[in-house]
Amino acid sequence: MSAPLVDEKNKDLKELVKREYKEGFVTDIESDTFEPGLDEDVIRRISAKKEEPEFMLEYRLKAFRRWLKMPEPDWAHIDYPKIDFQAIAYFSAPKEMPQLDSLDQVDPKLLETYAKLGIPLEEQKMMNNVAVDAVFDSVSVRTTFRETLSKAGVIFMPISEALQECPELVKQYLGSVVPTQDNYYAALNAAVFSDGSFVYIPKGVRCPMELSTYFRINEMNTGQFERTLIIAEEGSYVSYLEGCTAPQRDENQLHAAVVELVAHKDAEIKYSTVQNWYPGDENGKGGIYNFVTKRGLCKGDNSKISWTQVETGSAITWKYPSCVLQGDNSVGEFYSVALTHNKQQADTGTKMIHMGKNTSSTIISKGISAGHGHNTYRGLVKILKGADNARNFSQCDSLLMGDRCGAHTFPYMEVQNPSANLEHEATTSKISEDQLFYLKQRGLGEEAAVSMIVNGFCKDVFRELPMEFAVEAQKLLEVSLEGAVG
Amino acid sequence: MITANENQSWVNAHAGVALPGADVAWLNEQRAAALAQFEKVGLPGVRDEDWRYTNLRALKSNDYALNSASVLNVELAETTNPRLVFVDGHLDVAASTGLSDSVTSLKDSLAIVEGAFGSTLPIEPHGFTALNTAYAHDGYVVNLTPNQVLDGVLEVVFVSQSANAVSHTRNIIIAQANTQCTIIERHIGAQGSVYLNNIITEIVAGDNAHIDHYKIQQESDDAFHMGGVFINQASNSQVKNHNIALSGLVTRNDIYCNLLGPGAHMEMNGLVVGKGRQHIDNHTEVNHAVPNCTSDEYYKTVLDDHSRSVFRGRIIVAQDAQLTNADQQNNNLLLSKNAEADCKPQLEIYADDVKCSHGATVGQLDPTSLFYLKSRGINAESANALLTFAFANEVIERIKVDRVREELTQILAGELLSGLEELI
Repeated sequence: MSAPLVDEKNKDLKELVKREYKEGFVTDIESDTFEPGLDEDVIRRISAKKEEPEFMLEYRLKAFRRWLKMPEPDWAHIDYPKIDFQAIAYFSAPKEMPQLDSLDQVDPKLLETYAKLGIPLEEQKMMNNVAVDAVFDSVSVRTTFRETLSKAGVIFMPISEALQECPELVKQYLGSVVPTQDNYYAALNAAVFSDGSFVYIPKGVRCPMELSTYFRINEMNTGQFERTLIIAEEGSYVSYLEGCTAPQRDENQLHAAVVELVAHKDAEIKYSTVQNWYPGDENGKGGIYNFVTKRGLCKGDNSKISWTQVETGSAITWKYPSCVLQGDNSVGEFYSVALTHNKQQADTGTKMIHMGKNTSSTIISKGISAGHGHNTYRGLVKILKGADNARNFSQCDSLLMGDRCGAHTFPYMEVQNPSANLEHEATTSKISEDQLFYLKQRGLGEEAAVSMIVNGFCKDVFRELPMEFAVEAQKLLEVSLEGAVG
Repeated sequence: MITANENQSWVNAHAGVALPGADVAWLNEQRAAALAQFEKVGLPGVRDEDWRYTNLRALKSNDYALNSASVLNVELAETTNPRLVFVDGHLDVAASTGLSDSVTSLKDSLAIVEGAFGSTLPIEPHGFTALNTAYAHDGYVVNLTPNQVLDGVLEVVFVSQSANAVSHTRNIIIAQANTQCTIIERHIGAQGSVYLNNIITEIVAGDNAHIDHYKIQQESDDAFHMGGVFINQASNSQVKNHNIALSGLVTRNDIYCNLLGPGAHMEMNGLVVGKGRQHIDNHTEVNHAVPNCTSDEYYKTVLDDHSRSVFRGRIIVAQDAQLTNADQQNNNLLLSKNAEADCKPQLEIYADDVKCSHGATVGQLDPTSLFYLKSRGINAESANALLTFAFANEVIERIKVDRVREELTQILAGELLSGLEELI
C-alpha cells in the first residue's frame, strides 16, 4: 500500500477483455493527485477543492474524528496485510479524458458469447450500441439522458454537483441510512469521499431509463471513495446500475464506498452492480481492497429495495448490501454471485432487518471458488418484536473448483416474533461429474462445459439483472474463470 | 467486559480446595496451563462472538463454593441398570452400582486417563472449559479395552443438591478399537436452588468404536449448566450424541467433534424445550479433518414464554478432506410472542469434492395440519399441543435404544401434552 490512487476506471467490458489478452493494459491519464496522508488538513482541502457548503466540512470532520477512535474490524473471514492509511492519497482527479474507441471495435469474443447465448444479430447490434454509447460517447449520452430525465423531474448528478445545486436535499438524507459512526470504513468514507452519484426521483415518477454509472465515471473519475445517495419519493421507481473495473497495478489499492438508498411509500429501487475491480495476479500481487457499505431503507409502507450484485473482481471484497424494512409490507431482496479465483478473498452477504409488519425478504447467494480463492457468505436476518408476519427465504449455494479453494457460510438468524417464517438453506459442492460428462459427450470442450454449468448455477441471479448487464456478467464469469479448469 | 478482579475472585473462590492428583506431574502441568488460559481470557461476555447472544450477568452475580464430597439426600427412582450417582460433582460410592474395572471414578483413574485427559479440548478453550481443567475434581471414567462391549446401558446421574455449589466435573470415555457402549448422563437438581454445574465429557473413540452418548438435562429452573462434550474419532468409529435440554436457567453446551480417521461417522441430535425465562445455548462443531467421513446433525427447538435459544452449528471441512458428506438441520418453533430464537449455522469448506448442506428454519406450526386436526373435532389447543409434540418427538425418534426413547417420549409428553398423554 504505497502508491497514490490513480483513478482510471474504465467502465467497459471490451477494455477488460482486451486487458485479459494484452497484458498490462493501462489507460494513461494525467491526473491531479494529493500527496499521500490523512489529517484534518487534507479533509479541509478536499472540501475546499469541491467548494462544498460549510455543513459538509463539519460533517466530514466529525466523521474523521469518529474514525480516529474506531478500531479496524477484524471479524471477516479474510486475510490481508494491515492497511497503512497514511500511505494513501485521498484525492485524485484526471486532467484529461481517456482516448475514446470507435464503435465497430466490438471484441469478436464478445460476439461469440452473444451468439452462444442465442441472441439475434440485430439485438446484438442494439445491445452493443447501448453499451458502447453509454461508455464511449459519454457526452451525447449524457445530454440525451439529462433531457429525458429532467423532463421527468429526475435529478441525477454527481453528488458534488448536488451539494451546490440542492444542498438541503443532500443534507436531509446524507448519513440518514449509513450514519458516520456506522463502521470503520463508512466513517473513513464520510470523511474523505470525493464524489459519487446523487439520484432523486420525485413522487409518482417511474424513471424513464436505467441510470448507470458507466458514463459518469469516465467523465468525472470519482476516486476510490465514492458516495452514492438515491432517494425514491412516494410511488416512484428507479433502476440503477453500477459497474467497476480498474487497471492492473502491482500495489493494492483501497476502495471504500458508501451507498445509501431511501425508498418512501410505494417506491421501488433496484440497484445492480457488476464489480470487476482488478483482482490481482495469480500470485495475489496487487488488486483492489474493496470495503463497501451499502444499505437501503424501506422507509414507507409497500416500498421495495432490491440489490443484485455480480462480484468477480477485487483482491478483497468486504461488502454487505442491506435492507432495513421499516415500512409495513416492505420488501427487501438480495441476489448475489461472487466469484473468487487465484488468491482472491470475498466476505460478502446481506442484512435484512425486519421492523414493519408483513415485511418479506429474499436472499439468493451463489458463491464460486476456484484456484486459491476463498468465498464467504455472511448474512443476518433479524426479525424485531413488532415485525408481525415477517417472511424470509435464504439460499446460499457454493460451487468449488479445485482443491485449494474455500467456501464458507455464516448466516445469522435472530427472531423475536413468533409469527415469523424463516427458511435458510445452504449447500456446498463441486461441479457434478455427471453434468460435465453429459456436456462433453455432446461435443463441448471442458472449459465451455464448465462455463455453461456455472452460468446455470448463477441463473437465478443473472435473470434479475437488466439484459445488457446479464450478458456482461456471464462474459465476465467466463473470463474470470479462465484457467480454473483442468 | 470482565475485569481482572472478577476473574481473580473466581480463582480465589477455588483457592485451598484439595484436588486429586496433586502429585501427578502431567495433571499439574495441564492445570497450570488452564489457569493461565483462564487468566488470559476470563469468563466470556457478550462481546465474545461465541457468546454474543448469551448474557451471563445472572451467573456472575452469584458466589459459588466448591464442596468436598457430599452424600445423596434425595431419592432416585429405582433402576435395573448399573448407575453411578454424583452428588455436587463427587461420586457417591454408596449410592452407585456398576463400578468395575472398566467403569471408575476420575479420582481413582488418573493413571488410566493420562494422554486422554484434555486431548479432545479446543486449543483456545473459553473460561469455563479452562476452569474445568484447572479444578477438575471428579467424574466418571469408562475405559474399554479392545473388543470390549459394555453390556446394557450405563446411567450416570449428576445430582446438584447444595445451594450455591459449583462443580467442575470431568468425565472421560476411552473406547479402544472395536468397542461398544451406551451411556446416559442425567443432570438433575433441587428445584429452586441456584448452583453452577460446569461439566465436561471427553470421548476418545478408537478404530471402529461405537458409542451412544445421551445427555438429558433437567436441572433446577434457577441453575446454570455449562456443559462440554468433546469428541475425537478414529477411523470407522461411530459416535452418536443426543443432547436433550429441558430446564435450567442458563444452559450452554459446547459439543465439538473431530473426525480424525477415514470412515468415521458422527451423529448429533439435539432437542431444546424452553419455557419460563430459560436460556439455552448450543454450540456444535464438527471438524472433518480427513477424507471419507460423514456427519449428520439434527437440532430442534420449541420455545414458549420468555425463553430464548441460541444455536451455533459449525461444520469445518479441512483441505484434502475429500469425499466428506456433512448435513445439518436446525428447526425452531416459536410458541410465544416473547420467545427468541437465534441461529448461526456455519459452513467452512476447504476441500472441493464434498457434499455439505445446512438448513435452518424459524416458524410456526403448519396451518393446514392444524386445520386437519380441528376438522376432525380436536380443539385448537389440543391440536397445537399434538403438533408441537410431534415436531419435538422427531428428535426422540432418532434414538435407537428402545427404553431410552420410550422414557424420553414420556418426559416430552409430560412437558408438551399435559392432559393429552392418552392420545399417543
